[in-house]
Parts: sequence; C-alpha cells; structure tokens
Amino acid sequence: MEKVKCDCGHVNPYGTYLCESCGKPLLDDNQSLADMRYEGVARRSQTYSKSVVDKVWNFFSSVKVGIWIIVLILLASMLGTIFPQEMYIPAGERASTYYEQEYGVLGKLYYQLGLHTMYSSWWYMLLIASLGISLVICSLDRVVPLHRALKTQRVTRHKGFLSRQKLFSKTEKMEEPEKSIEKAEKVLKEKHYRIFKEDGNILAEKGRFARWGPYVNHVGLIIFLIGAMLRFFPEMYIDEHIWVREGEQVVIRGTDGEYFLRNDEFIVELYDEEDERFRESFERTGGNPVVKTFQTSATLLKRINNEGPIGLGTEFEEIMQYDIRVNDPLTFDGYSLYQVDYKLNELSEFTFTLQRNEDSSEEDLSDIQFTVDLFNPELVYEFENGYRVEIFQYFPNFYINDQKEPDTLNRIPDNPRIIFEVFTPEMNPDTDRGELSLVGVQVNEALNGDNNYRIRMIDVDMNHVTALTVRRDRTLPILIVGGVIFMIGLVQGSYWYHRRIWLQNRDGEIWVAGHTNKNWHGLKKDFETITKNTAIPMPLDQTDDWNLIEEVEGVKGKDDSSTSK
Amino acid sequence: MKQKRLVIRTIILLVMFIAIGYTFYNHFSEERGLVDQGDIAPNFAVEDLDGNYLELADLQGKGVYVNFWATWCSYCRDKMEYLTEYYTVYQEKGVEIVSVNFNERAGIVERHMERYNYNFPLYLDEQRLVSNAYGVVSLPTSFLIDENGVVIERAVGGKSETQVVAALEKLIPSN
Amino acid sequence: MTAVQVSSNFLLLAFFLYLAATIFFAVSITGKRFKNKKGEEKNKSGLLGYISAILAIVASLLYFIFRWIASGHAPVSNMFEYTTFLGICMAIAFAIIYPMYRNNFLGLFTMPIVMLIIAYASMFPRDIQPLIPALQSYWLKIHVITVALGQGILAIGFAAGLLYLIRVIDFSKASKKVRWLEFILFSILSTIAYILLGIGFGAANYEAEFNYINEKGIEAQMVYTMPPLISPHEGERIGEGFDPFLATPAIIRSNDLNTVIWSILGGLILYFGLRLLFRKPIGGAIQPLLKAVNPQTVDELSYRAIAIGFPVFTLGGLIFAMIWAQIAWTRFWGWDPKEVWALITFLFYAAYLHLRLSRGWHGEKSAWLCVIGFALIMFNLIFVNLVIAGLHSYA
Repeated sequence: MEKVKCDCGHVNPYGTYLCESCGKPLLDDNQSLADMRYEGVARRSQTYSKSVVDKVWNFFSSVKVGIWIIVLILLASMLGTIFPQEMYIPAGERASTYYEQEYGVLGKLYYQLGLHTMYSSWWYMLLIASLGISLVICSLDRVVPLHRALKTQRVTRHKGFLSRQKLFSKTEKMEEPEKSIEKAEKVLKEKHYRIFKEDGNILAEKGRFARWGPYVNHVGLIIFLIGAMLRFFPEMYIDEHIWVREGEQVVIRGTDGEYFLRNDEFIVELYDEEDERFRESFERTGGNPVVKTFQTSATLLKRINNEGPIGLGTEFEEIMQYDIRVNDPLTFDGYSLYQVDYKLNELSEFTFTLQRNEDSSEEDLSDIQFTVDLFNPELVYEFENGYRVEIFQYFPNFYINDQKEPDTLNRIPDNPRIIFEVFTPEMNPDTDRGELSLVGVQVNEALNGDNNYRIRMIDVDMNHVTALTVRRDRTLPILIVGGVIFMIGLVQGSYWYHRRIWLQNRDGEIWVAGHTNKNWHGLKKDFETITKNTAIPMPLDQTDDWNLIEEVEGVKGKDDSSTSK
Repeated sequence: MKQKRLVIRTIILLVMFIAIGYTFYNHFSEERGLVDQGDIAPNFAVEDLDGNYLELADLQGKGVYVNFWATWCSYCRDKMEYLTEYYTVYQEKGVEIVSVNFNERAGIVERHMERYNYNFPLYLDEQRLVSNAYGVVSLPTSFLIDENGVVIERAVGGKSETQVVAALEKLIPSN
Repeated sequence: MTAVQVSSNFLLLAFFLYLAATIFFAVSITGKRFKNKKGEEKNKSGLLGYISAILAIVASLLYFIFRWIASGHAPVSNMFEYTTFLGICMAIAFAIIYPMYRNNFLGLFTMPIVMLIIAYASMFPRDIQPLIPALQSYWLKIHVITVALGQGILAIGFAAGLLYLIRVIDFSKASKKVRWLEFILFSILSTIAYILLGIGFGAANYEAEFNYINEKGIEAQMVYTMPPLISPHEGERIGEGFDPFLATPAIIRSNDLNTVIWSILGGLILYFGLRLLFRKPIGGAIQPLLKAVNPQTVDELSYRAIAIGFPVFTLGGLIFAMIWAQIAWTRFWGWDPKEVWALITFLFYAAYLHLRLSRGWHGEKSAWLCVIGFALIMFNLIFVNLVIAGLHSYA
C-alpha cells in the first residue's frame, strides 16, 4: 500500500511497473521487454478491494471483464436473429401461436424462452448496462494515471527502461556523440517530432494525442448510452400510429390534442412497365408491378383556442401543406410524421336507386337516387314523389356474433350491410312497417316477405387510407453528440500514432530506443532516416524472430500422409 | 486520500446504479395512462344526440362515471346494460353517468340507441378530441371522477355487474 | 453499345486485370530468389502487379460509373451490385495499404480474393432493378458505399491474417489449427466450385422443374439450375430426368440446398484433388512460397488494416445506417437482423482491438480473429440477406 520511491526521486503509486518519471522498472517480473501498456502505471489497486464498493469497482475496472461483456452481448444478439422478433411477425398474428406454427418445436422454444422480445428483456438490458458501467470505470481508472505518467515523463530515462524497449541499441564509445544527436534532432524536427532536451539527451515525441483517442470514444459511447437510457424516461419518446382516410381530419396522437392532420390525397405510383432500363428485371420477376412512390398530400392544422374545455368549440388553423413520402417525413415542433403504410380502395360511398320488382309498372322511379356515406350515413332519404327510404340498421363490418345476432366488428366499412326500410307514398312511416331488405356488396335479401321494391346499388365510391407514424424523440440530440464524439475518438486513436524516440548520451555511448503504440513499421522508417543522416545505428527489433523460416524448411521430406488427419 | 477515493467511487457507482434502476423501473412497470388516478380530470364539452350541451366542469359536486364506448364493442354493450339498470338509483345518490362515444357519427349512434334503449344520454365525440385527451386506446375505458374533479380510477376493459356497481358506489359524494 | 453493356465490359476487363495483378505478384515472389544476384532487387514484377491492380480498379470504377448512368441510381442496391462493389472496395483498400508496406505477398493473397468475390457476385441476377421507395434516398449511396469500403479494408485484415497463419502454422503435425486452416481453404475452394458449376450449367442452360407442395401446403413449381440430388417436398419431376435420392421437408428451399450440396461436393473434389497432387495439406503446400514473409510485419499489417477499417465500418454500418433508418423507417435502431449483425461485427472487432491492445493478443490469436471477423462479414452479406429475412432483403 505504500508508495514506491524510485532512485530518481519520483514517488510512484503502489503497483507501478515502470517509474512514471525515469522509467526504471520497479517490479522485477523477469520479462525481457518492458510492458508499455498504459506506460506501466499502477492502474488499479487490487489491494483496495476491502469494501464492497471497491470490489465492485475493481470488477468493472478489468478489461478482461469488459471484453467478456462485449462477447456476451455479441453472442446474445446472435440468438435474437434466429427467428424474427415479435415486431416483425405479420400484423395480426399472435406470438403465442405464430412461432410454433411457423417454426415448429424450435419456434415454440424460442417463444417460451422469450427470445422473440429478447432485446428488451431484463437480462439483455442488464448486459448493456454493465457494458456502460465497465466503460465508465475502465476509462476512469486508466486515463487519469496515463495522463499523469505522460505528463511527468522525463527526458533522461533509466538504462533499464531503454534496454527493455522493443526497439533498442547502443553504440560503442564514440567521438562527439553530441554532434550525432544534434543531427538526429534536426532530422526528427523535419519529421514533425516535438523535441525535449535534458543534459544533451533527447526525447522526440509525436502524436501523443492519439493516446487519448480510446478515452474520447469511450466518452462518446457513454453519452450515447445515456441517450439510449433516456428513451425510457417519460416525455422523451413518442411512438404513435395514425390512419387517415382521404378527406378526413384526425387529431395527431401524442401531441396533446394540439395538432391535426387532414389527408387531402393519397397517391401510389408504380414504375412504368415499359421502362427499358428495368425490362430484364420485370421479365425475370414475372412483371409484378413495383411501387415507385407512396405519398400523402396532407394539411397540418393546429388548435387555436387553448383555453376552455376539450371537444366542442375547438377551432383550427391551417399551418402548412406537405407531401409526406417514405424517406421524406413531415417535421414540425419536434414531431415527425412518417409514411409507413396504406390501404387502397376502401369503400366509402354507395349510391342506390329504387326499382319495382315487376317491370310492368307504369311508375317512373328513375329520379330516386341516393348516396349513403358509409362512415356517416344519413338515416332518412325522402323523395319528391312521396317515396321514403330509411336506414333501419347499418353494419359497417358485418358478422354474426355469439348471440347469433347481426353485428359489426368495427367502424370500418370492409363488409358493409345496410337494412333499408322502404315506404311508399301511401304509407305512414310512424305507424306502418315498410319493406325491409338487407343490402351489401353482392347481397340483396328481402327480410319481411316478398318485396315489391328492390334497392339496387348503382355506384360505389372508394377511398385510399394512409398510415403514418408519429414520432418525437428528444434523445436524438444526445445520441448525435455521443456519436460524433465517438467517431472523433475512434479516428483520433486509429489514424494517428504515438511515437517516441529516446537518444541518450551515456558516457560517450549513444543509447537509442523507440516506442509506439501501433505502427512499428512507421517508427522503423523514421529510424532509417536517422541512420542515413547520422552515425547513429538502426536499433534492433528485440522481438524479431527469423528463426521461423528454418522451421518451415523442416516441413520438407516429412511423411506427408501423416499430416492430413 | 484513501477515504476520498472510496467516497468518489461510491458516488459514481451510486449515480450509475440509480440511473439504471430508474430506467428499469420505467421500462418494466405498468404504463400509466395519459389521464390516470390522482390527476385532475381535463374539462371537456360534448353534445348528446338531441343537441344537449354538457361540460364536465358543470358536474362538480357529483361523482361522475365517464365511459368511453363504441357501437361495435360488445363489452361496452354489456357494461351499458348494467349502467342502464342502476342509472336512476345512483343518479339520486349524486352519481352521473357520461357515456362518450368513440369516433362514430350521430346516425350510427342514434340507431344503436333505438336498438338498445339506454336510459342515459349518449354523447358524441366524432373527432375523437375527448378520447384523445384522455388517452383512450382500447374500449371500453372508464374514468371514475370524484366530486372534486379528481380521477380516482382508470378502468380499462370489460367489467362484470358487481364491478360496475362497486364503481358507482365509490363515486357517491361523501357530503 | 448501351451503357449497361459498356459497364459489363469494363467489369470483365477489370476481372482480367486483377488476374494479371495476381500473376505479377506471384512472379514477384517466386522470381525474387533468382534475380537477386547483385544483392539488389531488380525484380519489377511487384511494381507491375501494383500498376495492374490500379488499372483494374480504374476499370472497376468505370463499370460502376456506367452502371450508375444506366440505372439512374448508385449500383449498390442488390446482391450482385453490392457484392461486386465489396470486391472493388477490397481492391481499393489494397491499393491504399500496399504502398505503406510494399508487401507483394499481400497482393498475391488479396487479388485472388477480390476476383473470387466479383465472380461470386456475378452468380446473382445482374439485371437493373427499380428502387422501392424506402431505398430512394441519397443515404443509400452514403451508407452503402461507406460500409463496403469499411468491409473492404477489414477484408485486407483477413488476407493478411490468412497469410500469417499459413506462414507460421506447423503443417508437419496434425492439429486442430491445421484442420481449421484447411477448412478455410476448403471453403474458398467450395466457392470456386460453386462459381465454376454455376457457369458450366448456366452455359448449358440446364434446368429441371418440379411440382411440389410448399410450406403453406399449396402446390407450387420449383426450378433447379443444377441437376437435382435432392427433391423438394412431395416433388414430382416435370419432364425427363433421373429421380433424386432424397426428399426434403417443406420449409427448406430444396433447389438452394441442392446448389449448396453441389458446391460442397465440387469443393471436396477440388480439395482432395489438390491434396493428392501436393501430397500434403494445401496450407503446407503454400507455406514454402511464403518463407520470405516476415510474420511480424504481416501481423502488424493485419492489425493496421483493421484499425483503419474499423472506424470506416462503424461510420457506415452503424452511424450512417442509424441516420438513414431514422429517416426511412422512423427509428434509428429497430433490431432488424441486418442491423443486429452489423452490431455483432462492430462488437467483434471492438473485442479484437481490446484483446490486442490490453491483453496482448498478437500473432496467431490475432490472425485467427481476423479470419473469424471476415467470416462474420460474409455471413452478414450472404446468410442474413438470403436466409434470415428482414427489412434489408430486397435482392
């Protein structure tokens, strides 16, 4: 637990491998080369693990643990892609039956293990959270001592430090070593090294800021994860869905009743089947039409009277018109409306006429024409010649319910049936019962005995419906900031290299050593330039191992068949 | 020095664990409705089939059972059957029933009224302004509002007769 | 000549230039020993190889430009176009990294892989397809081009890793390492077999048709482009021909599986043919050619390639992808299989970098990881696109 005082006078924290100031190896680990990761600083003090807090801290401070977390997330993520996630199964399917029915026993197991909603499961989120904690603690535990070590490093280094560098050599005693060092200094300056001098010794350094790259990108990642976390906080994230029929105006969900949207027109455009460019493709795929554009021409409206009760008396003001397309959402006041789906040719209006069943009739009924709005039907249709048609019952989406009664599934006229009651001029609608008939698409039944009159459908009107997603994501700015910082850090750490060259005059001998965190090739090239211009020799790569070549030659002449299995 | 390090580490860990804990709490706890228990019920104005105007604020002092329903919703019909049965009894005890239709037009609601003969008025919300403000996403949804205009319960889904009576009982003003 | 034809011709030209580069690089390493008499390297083949590679890239880019002109959108929107572009990007990445290390062995390993990728790409339908609305965005170019470039650079890491492994692994003894390395080489041979068989049966216009019952219990027809070794679910052959040995369950697309079986058989024949020829593991046969390779340099090279490619891949595959997803699909992240596999690739290379920097995984371990990383990229390209359906499967 005590601090370690180096011969050079610098006091190092417990656990330091190499003195922060002169680089003297403080722990004799019998390694031939110095461990230069994190400059040999004491990065976490295992000895502090007495309290729970320290134990937790040290656990997350380990890069090994961090890598395990990454690997676990990686493996878990794979699992979730075996079968589609619940949000990607076809609309209207139930997860409880879909997976088994589609993928058999494995699908059932997938569902039972909860893998169909795996990415929002507690254990997956916990893995991501641990990654976040690991990022914070690992970075804090390393960046502080690293910064201190790079700041306090001295130009003159301990012999043990130099000789244990990967690139190292020393000359014999030579004449005027100062001159050689001076020349080398010039060369290095031309190569944009920063030169530090002390007692005729040189430390040339370049690209130190690359060392901060990893920490910068970790900060970016942490900010990004914080942004992702905020998604789960109230008010941060809105994900709503609206269907809007042509001509209809609806309140935009998620906007506190403040904004409204009218669908003026919905268009689907297909690619021209005659287009020469795509001829081969159309032939190969059998000429199925390919959609070119979906577009909702919409009008955005805003409520203007914010005082007073909700509901009646609400007044609107048109704000803007916009053509919403895929890849081109309508954005206003932090909200965005995205084109996501559509339904073509939904029934909207039926037009009917009245006929007598025996055409012997001298009566002319051709004036009797009426149109029923399938969303907002009029109940009574009166005509000048005294005829009157009433809607007795209306079922927009007809079915027979559990009580064996006619009923409707919902308000959407996907299968409309209307029961009409026809009153002739002689009848009194208040007291008499008219002829009843059930009318729908391809359906026309008399309900109370044989009818004299028949209601005939003569026209059908249809509408397109658009589906839009309403989104507000207040976490986006945080995510953008995180992403940008992350990328900066990544580039900083990957495309620049920290290089250091030590040239020291030790009683007339020149000691040469070099270190870089990556790109030894580049560092060696820099040394080559020094060697070319001065009497300083090229340092040896102490790890270079050319013996391997001989091993390979040994392959020849061996019994080859034995190597196959 | 050592003490300081422990304090810093504790603070950092605590902040992270609390933030993660709160995130998990938000993610896995049952979602709160837009208008829910304890909220002041937003004031709204509606008209019934005969054009009679109603404002929620005018019902201050009474318990109000606001029920969102639609003609095509069979659970709604069951519930409204029970409400019809107990409407007059509880009206005398100071409980009002406000049945707000969800997104259907007058004609359709009128025929429905004729078919089922409810004894309380049916209010229209053709543009879904009120149901949107109350965050209604499935039917039936009811809001129990006490005499001070505070929501005491948000009830989603079909209800049995006893549940409906119990709800009405809860709404009887205390004074 | 139409722009499409011009572009196809340039791609063909590029293919032969890549071949020329391969040959030059091969000469440069085999010829070195003989031409080294004066102690100075007189061998210009390496330079010629590099020039050929550059010319090949120019031709490839002309293919790209003309196809862009012909279709009106960036030619990266289906399997043929994307895979071809990935090959081109790998060549570009090589052109960037080669001058740093002047390593001819890298050229010898990279150029054939580029050729293989482009040849594999051309097995997919090559017609120009119209863009569906979700793809109509300038983010298509930005996102896809960046991803391809990133993956191309990462693929150089694979080539260097493979080079390293063949250089250092001891083939004289049977071991797990030897078996895995041979498996990698076998996979490459199977891909070659697939391409050769595809070209062969394609040239012969081979087709076999079946009536069968599909997974929904509906009668359907299926066309085989290679002779059927397995038949579809309750399949009945239309027309003449021998009957397959085995039938498959309905959920398996039997014609695709049939092609896979053919490729594996072809790969086996090639593999054991070569083994018989060399009388030793294929890796062991290549190894003597690589004597002059300095393993440390190749190790650093593979690491550099990944350090350079990783930020590019992250930018294209995650960051640009998220921006576009936010615009086109309303959310920046939706756990679509392709997104998840991009994340997996990212996490894998992140783990690689941490293992290397913090835990000292150099040399062999690092090289194996490079190979696995490339396998992930290929898996994401082929398997996720063709088998795991998702929002990205347009091809």
